[in-house]
Amino acid sequence: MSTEFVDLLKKYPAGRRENLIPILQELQDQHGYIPEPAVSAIAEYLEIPAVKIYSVATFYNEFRFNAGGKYHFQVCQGIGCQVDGSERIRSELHRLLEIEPGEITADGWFSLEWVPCLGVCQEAPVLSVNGELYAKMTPVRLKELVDKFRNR
Amino acid sequence: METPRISEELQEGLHALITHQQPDSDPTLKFLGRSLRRERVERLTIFIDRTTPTSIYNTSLIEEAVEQWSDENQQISEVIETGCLGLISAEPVIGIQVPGRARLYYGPVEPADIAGMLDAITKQVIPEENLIGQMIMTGQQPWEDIPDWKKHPFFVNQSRTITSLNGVINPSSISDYIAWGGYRTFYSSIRNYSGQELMKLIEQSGLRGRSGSGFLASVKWIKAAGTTSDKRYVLCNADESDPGGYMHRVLIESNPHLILEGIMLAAYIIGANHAIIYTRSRYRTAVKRIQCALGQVRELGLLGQDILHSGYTLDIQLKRGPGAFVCGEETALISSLEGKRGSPRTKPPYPATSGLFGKPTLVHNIETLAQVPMIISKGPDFYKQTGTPGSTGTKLFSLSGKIKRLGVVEVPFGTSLGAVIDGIGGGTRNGRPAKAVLLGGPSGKFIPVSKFNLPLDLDKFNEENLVLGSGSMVLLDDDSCPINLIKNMMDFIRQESCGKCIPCRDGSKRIMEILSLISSRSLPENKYEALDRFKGVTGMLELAEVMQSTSLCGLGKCAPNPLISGMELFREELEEHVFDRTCRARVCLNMRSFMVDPVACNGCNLCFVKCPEKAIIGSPRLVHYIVDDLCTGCGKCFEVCKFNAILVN
Repeated sequence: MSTEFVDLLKKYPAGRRENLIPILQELQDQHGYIPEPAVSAIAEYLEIPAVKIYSVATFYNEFRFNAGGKYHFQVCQGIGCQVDGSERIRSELHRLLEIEPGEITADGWFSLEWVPCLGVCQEAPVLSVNGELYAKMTPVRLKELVDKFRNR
Repeated sequence: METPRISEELQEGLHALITHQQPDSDPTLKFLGRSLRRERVERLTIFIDRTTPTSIYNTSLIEEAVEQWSDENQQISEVIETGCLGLISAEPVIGIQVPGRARLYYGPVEPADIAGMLDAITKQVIPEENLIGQMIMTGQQPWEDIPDWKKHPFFVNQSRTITSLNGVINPSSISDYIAWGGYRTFYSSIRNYSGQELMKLIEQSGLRGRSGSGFLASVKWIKAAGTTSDKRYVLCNADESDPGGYMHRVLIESNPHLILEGIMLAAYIIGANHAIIYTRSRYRTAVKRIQCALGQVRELGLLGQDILHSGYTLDIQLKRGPGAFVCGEETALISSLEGKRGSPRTKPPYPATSGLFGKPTLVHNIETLAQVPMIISKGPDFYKQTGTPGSTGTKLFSLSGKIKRLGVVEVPFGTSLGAVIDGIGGGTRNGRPAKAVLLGGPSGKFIPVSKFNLPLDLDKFNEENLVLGSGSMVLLDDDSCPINLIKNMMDFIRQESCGKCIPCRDGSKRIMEILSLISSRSLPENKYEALDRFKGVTGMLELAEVMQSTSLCGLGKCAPNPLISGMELFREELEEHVFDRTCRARVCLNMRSFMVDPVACNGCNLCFVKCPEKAIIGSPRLVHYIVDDLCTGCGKCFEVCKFNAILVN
């Protein structure tokens, strides 16, 4: 077993499958994504096949296997935002960044994700970049925002 | 997260407040309670809402403004965080209280306004701008000519019971909750009553699950308590994933201890020693609040071995959900807790007999469990006074969409839909005519304006074949396109379908494809593509019905609800999309076509420069022209034009 993940795994009792999701969550919190070598380490520790871990990890929205971009865009998919025009924001982001949700641009700068309601429906449509919220987005403001990050 | 340690002296006081027969008869306890409830404050106190809806505003700037003002005026002030009153369209909301006087609530507040407001209020002059109202507590002198906050149109018709402390107390402090009578019910229950006695109360109260199906709670409870097993679980589903709703999150963030007390009582009644709260890890503030609350409860000895010498042992664990809509279904939720994919399984056996790790498990969402302390403390007869005979108590709704006053509301069952939308919500934001309400998010149905007098009642809704759902209300006005909304929700279902059963997995994908085709402009298509499109249109309803009748779980069964109800209600608009290929609300992006108004265009050349497809021809000071075949309908020209010279069709 690779020694890198031993400390983390030791916090949980071995061979208990119900700890799989908490372990994956802690890994993701630490690294921002789930590193591939960790999967085999978890498999050995919890005594389940690695394929089962992939099956679980790919099922839930939260887990990722690649690091996010330098600027991680999360666009609110809540119905409140949709009624106020988040579809325009989404299609514009698609066009500007030329990536699908879950992907990362070739230069590693931007990544994209659609997320459920961010909870600021009064300022819809909203998106968040690296956790900072931007309210009342319009395609024009979005272009300015992306340009601002590009020129940094 | 480290929870602040509670001093031993305070711990003693809090224990006394929980265990004393009548805390108000003891002068020391009465004084402690009043201070902790902040009925009396010794200095200027500012209450700032620190929940997710305010995350977009920099509330620390407000705090800084308060500090700066205090320094300049040599006043001592205190800032206290609170939960959310519920009126989200007025965020950031702050409360201001000077010693001896009632608390004033304002919103929305800008950091720049703070100094002026504090100046005025300390001079006993009340600025009326953005005032929500005053909150008068016992022993406080009310402000003259200032309306009570409960008279505000948003609050006046609400009946706040489980949300009564939201926005009033500090959610990160257990002493606030205890001072308002918290955990007293739990203590007296475990000391004086048996689980069976209390079960009778739940049975008599007619409590029904708030998750949508409205299942009678006591049936589950009796089954879970009656199944022989060495272990039992109470599972609190706080994994609110409805993309249109946020009432559960606001409740956790504003009053986490109420949820804990509900869980503790439920666990005691069914005889469980383990309970789990499952909340989504994206709700970071909510997770933090629960962690903090659990730490404080353990510190006070309200959880653990032999709670307050009653012989009862209970522990509550917090599990973070990694995000899946289908985990709202109880069997999927249990799979997820067992470390598996969150796929539902067939029922029976129901979780009440064989749930988590095969043990009897009581699964409820937080809103249902939050009702329990009140049922036990006030008794089922009192509880049944609110609501209707079939659906007792109150229900939380979250208002969003094109509504004037957004927020979380709590009304008794039986209130009419119109009273909530037009009365509490204030109708549409721009005064435009309302079109319909989508009740229940992606599993809900559209309700037209003509049915706004319908009472919000579980039985009545079943009769009308409607869905009350989790309680998210999204108002559409005539500027919104229902077809587009249905398409987006179907896309959401497609992403969130667990993939176990074919009707849901493939049906949602196919319906999404059909809806995308009918909400796009007429592109050159060969005859087979046109045939395919029409085949889709004619078969869509049948496909939806197949999905409804053959899917395994509630997610798939309810997924076609918006489509079926929308097709019936918005027939005309759907046909416009299919035959005329126009969207009257101009929302469907691919359907818009643009034209230059030759009179208004002054040839500023801006649209020419900005057009990403180079579909605009023209030169400075000449009227421009949009080439329809090149135009992709992105709408950029429309947005940049300063002279309103771009017409949309």
